[in-house]
Amino acid sequence: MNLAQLLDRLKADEGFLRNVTRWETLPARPARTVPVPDHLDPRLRAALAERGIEELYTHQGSALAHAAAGRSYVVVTPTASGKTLCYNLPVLDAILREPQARALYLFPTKALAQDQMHEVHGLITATGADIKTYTFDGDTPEPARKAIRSSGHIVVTNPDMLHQGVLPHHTLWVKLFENLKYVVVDEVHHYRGVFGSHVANVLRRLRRIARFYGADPVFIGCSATIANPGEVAAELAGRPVDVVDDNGAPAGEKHVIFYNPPVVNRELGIRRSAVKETRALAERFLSARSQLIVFARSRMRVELLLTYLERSGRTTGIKSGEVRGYRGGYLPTERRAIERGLRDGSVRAVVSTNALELGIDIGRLDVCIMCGYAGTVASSWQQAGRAGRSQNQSVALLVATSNPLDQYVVSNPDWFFGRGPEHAAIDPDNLIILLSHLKCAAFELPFDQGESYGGKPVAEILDYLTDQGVLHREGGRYHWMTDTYPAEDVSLRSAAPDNVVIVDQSKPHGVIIGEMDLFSSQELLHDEAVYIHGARQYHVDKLDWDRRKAYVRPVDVDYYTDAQRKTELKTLSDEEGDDLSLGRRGLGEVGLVSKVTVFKKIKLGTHENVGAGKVHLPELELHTAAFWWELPDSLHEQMNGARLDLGDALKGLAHLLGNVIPAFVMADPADLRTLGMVRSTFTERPTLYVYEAYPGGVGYARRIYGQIDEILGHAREHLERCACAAGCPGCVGAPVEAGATAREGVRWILGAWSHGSAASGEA
Amino acid sequence: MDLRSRLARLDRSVGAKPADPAPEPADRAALLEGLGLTRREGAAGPVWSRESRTPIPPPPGSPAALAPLLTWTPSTDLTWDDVLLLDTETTGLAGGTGTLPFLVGLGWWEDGALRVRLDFLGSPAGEAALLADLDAFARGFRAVVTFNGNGFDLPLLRTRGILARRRDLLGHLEPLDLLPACRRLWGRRLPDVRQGTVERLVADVIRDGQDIPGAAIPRAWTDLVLQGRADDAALVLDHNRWDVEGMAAILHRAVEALAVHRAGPDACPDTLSWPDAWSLARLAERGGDARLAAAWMEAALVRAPVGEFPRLHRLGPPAPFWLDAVRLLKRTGDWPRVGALLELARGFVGREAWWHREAAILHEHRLVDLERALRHARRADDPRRVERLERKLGRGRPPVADGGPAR
Repeated sequence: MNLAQLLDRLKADEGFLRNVTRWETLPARPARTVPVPDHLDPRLRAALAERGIEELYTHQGSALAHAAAGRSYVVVTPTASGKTLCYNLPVLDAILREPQARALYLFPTKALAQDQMHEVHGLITATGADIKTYTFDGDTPEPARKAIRSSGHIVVTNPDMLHQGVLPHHTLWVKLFENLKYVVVDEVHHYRGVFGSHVANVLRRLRRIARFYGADPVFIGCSATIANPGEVAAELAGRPVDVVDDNGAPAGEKHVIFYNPPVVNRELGIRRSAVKETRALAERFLSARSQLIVFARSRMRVELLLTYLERSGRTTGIKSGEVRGYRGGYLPTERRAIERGLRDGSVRAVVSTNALELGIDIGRLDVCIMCGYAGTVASSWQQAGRAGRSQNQSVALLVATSNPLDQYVVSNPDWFFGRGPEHAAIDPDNLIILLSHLKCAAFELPFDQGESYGGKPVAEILDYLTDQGVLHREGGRYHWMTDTYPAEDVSLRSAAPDNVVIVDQSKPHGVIIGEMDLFSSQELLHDEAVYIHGARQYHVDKLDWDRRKAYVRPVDVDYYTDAQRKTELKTLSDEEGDDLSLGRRGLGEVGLVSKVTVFKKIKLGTHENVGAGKVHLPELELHTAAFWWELPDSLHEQMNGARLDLGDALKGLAHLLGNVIPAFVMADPADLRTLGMVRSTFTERPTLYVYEAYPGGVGYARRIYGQIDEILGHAREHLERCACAAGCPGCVGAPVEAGATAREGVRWILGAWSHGSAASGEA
Repeated sequence: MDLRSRLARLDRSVGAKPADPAPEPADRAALLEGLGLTRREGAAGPVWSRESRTPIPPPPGSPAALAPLLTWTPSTDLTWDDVLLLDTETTGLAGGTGTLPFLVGLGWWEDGALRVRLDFLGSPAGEAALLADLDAFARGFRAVVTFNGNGFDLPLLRTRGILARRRDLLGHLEPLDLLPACRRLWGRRLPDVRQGTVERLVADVIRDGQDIPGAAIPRAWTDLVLQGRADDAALVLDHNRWDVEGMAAILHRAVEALAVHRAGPDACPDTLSWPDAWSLARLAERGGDARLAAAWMEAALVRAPVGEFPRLHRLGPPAPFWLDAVRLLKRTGDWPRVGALLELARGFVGREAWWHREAAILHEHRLVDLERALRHARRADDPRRVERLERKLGRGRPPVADGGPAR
């Protein structure tokens, strides 16, 4: 049986179809091409011909036209559509014509950087030209660094190395900066939230330094499909960026299937194991001799699925070595081996965490099964894009877990297919982030009075730093005055300079595995917390608050911990606001004083409470951006009349929106917090707050403000479709947490909003 | 809320401490004059400087005598008048483009004495003028002496030059870094090779006054510029002058040491220590003179405390000394001497595998005492040698037909 036959069988399989919430068939698409431009250097044209490339896809042609005109652009096409040629061709062409020309390639991870080096080397070798390409990262040996600085035509690095190792030492890189023609940023969509806001500032500093040396490089980006790639790319590039999205790559017919395992416990809203369902489905496709990739959200699940599939030989015919696992940290040699195996058919299945979502080249396969929603529409399409050879049919299958977001998506397929991908939020002008990078920029080059940064005036901030003794203003300039190295104090993955460092004690001498901002660390890294990092569980043995260190060790337990935070919230400023059909929406800054006091141990799967403990940590202050929904005062009386509790309803509403909002903005659930107040001191009314977890905020609150009606609409639909009886973690929260009347209360409020009248109470 | 209040609040929320309030701006010129600095017109603007003259004459002979310590070949017509001494004080040791040299100390010989000039930045705004003046002044020299300058002062000044649009500042000067030179000449004797240590224990220089600790130096300058306090700045100026004068004194000792080195052990003073003799042996080896290296090693052996504490090996020369001694004396081909040396070394390193290996090699190939060689080979955990010796002694198995162990 082949894939087409299996698909026919599935279409007739009632047992299967009962759990399918959507089966979407995307039609096949032929290739659209343009000739290779005449202006390309003949050596490059010959190299392409040697690889069998006689024409370019339309988006590749468009990219080259933009580059020739000196215009910055971002290429937004699916995985495996030949995006790398969109930057390798113009860069190599420039260097072949002008041997002094230089380019900087930025990748979010070392693994990606290494893969791309491999790719561009192949093309360079085919031209026969002496073009030197080097990676420059923390592992680059000292003796090699001098050669890279002086003679590297293409320097491949990552944002952290650029931030700490290159820009503060730019006088060692004169050759690169003087001749910098292109800056290539791959995986633009990855630079969002706090990380993106930091990287945008690193690029501002880069451009400032390039300008000092007389260069003004063209920006080339590559992005997965998000709603606003041009906007994000423009924030990163610091200039207008054209979007090149006329995808000319061919695609076969693609079947996108949403599968929701059946409910086994209606009370708690628990479904059959997504892992087991994934296994069963994968075995069916393997029996049809398909090559497939399975994405799983945790390492534990990857290992489980790998084991299941390796042992499935009797039903699938699979042999030892034909199923491979993949996760972050694999060496280039191992990755090459998997890629080769997929190409020659000796590897029939790969099970991976999200590590393979980023553009590592493994070619394209027949089937992609996603065990759990990838977190965003954009990531889902990236994963789904792994399946689909140019001419043949392919399948992308989402198997939903009990996770609230998964349930939301799989129960509302119209939302997924109709709305397009999420907006990525990025805010390079977040004050904390901006301040830290201004210090780095002033260390690199003094600021002239009146000089702008990121196109905006920064005199007030520079004056503030002068008052702090960090800078000194004299002779029309602001000079760096301290003996510190500011880049060291800035982690690109956090908004606050003072982080808690996470140390894995199970390794000899302890190994730092990550960092976390102070606010989140109280909730996630308190003593005895079970912390998930890189899809692995760790037990926090001790949080040394004074030294800002959390000592952890890997564990494999069947529960997670949930800390309770007591928060007092004050509205500090009110930037925007207007009426909704029920109440008002607001946007501004809030100050919180919060304390984590206790935590619970919750069993995985059943969500039972299996233990608790106290947390002894100091109070914290957070000043950040927030959205709020101010509800009418009359709600108290009206809901009392309907025997509903407003407090419970607000708790439930906070929980429900916390589940739904991340589907609209590309935020991790940990980036946002919700809080319902029966009487807010600012609005003096019942109010629901959604505030950002990072000091100053990075743009999520504003996005929520702009999309609130859509969000509330979908929240209401999601609640109506939830299979639970009286509330569950997938909608308003379990009754023991939110209250017995929470579900009804939330239905009431959303119904009133929907009907535009507080007097209505109809569902 | 205005921007400043927001910034202050945000800073507090991330745990940053508020700064001290800024005092009233001081009369900078008066402060600098109070430090004994004079405003002079430099090559491209005013520079604040203080000059002094010290009766330290130039070392005898020519700088070409320092050749064994250099990575470049000095021209024979180079004189001490062509040499510039240089030391900087900076706003930090972190490196990178934000580190500022606020004090550049220069020394040179004129009319048989050492002139020292300290160029001091009254504020960061004066840097361009200071660097322009330094560039112009340095054109009159051909070599620059520093202490750790190759790793710090010179790259720093090059960086500041680039920022001031002045490429390759001091690039024409051939460098002589006293740090590696001191390590080569005296590093085996001294507890460390910091400049202060070398001055005290080699050049007999005592700094007559309170010397400011290095960690306090950056703050001394920022206090002057930001707070109008000049007390520590005065100490920094003295410190820098001492650094320059100290380098001159060290140069003298280096030239003397190299003269002793060239003359050979027969002419060297009795006061020469065994670690210094050992250093001279290594220097000769580096220069390719095996005979001189062996002679200096013998001189070191004569001076080393080897007879006094034969069993208390902790108090005698360390293992690297014996290793070098065996290596250097082997080149003379005097095998009985090498054998006697190994016996002497036994009391200090007799348990170490390398000693047994050397003894095994000597007895197998030179003294042809195979039994003894075998005993040492076993102790050295050298299975191939053991196998070969056993075969030679008629005890081992014959070699494998396909070639056996390689020799």
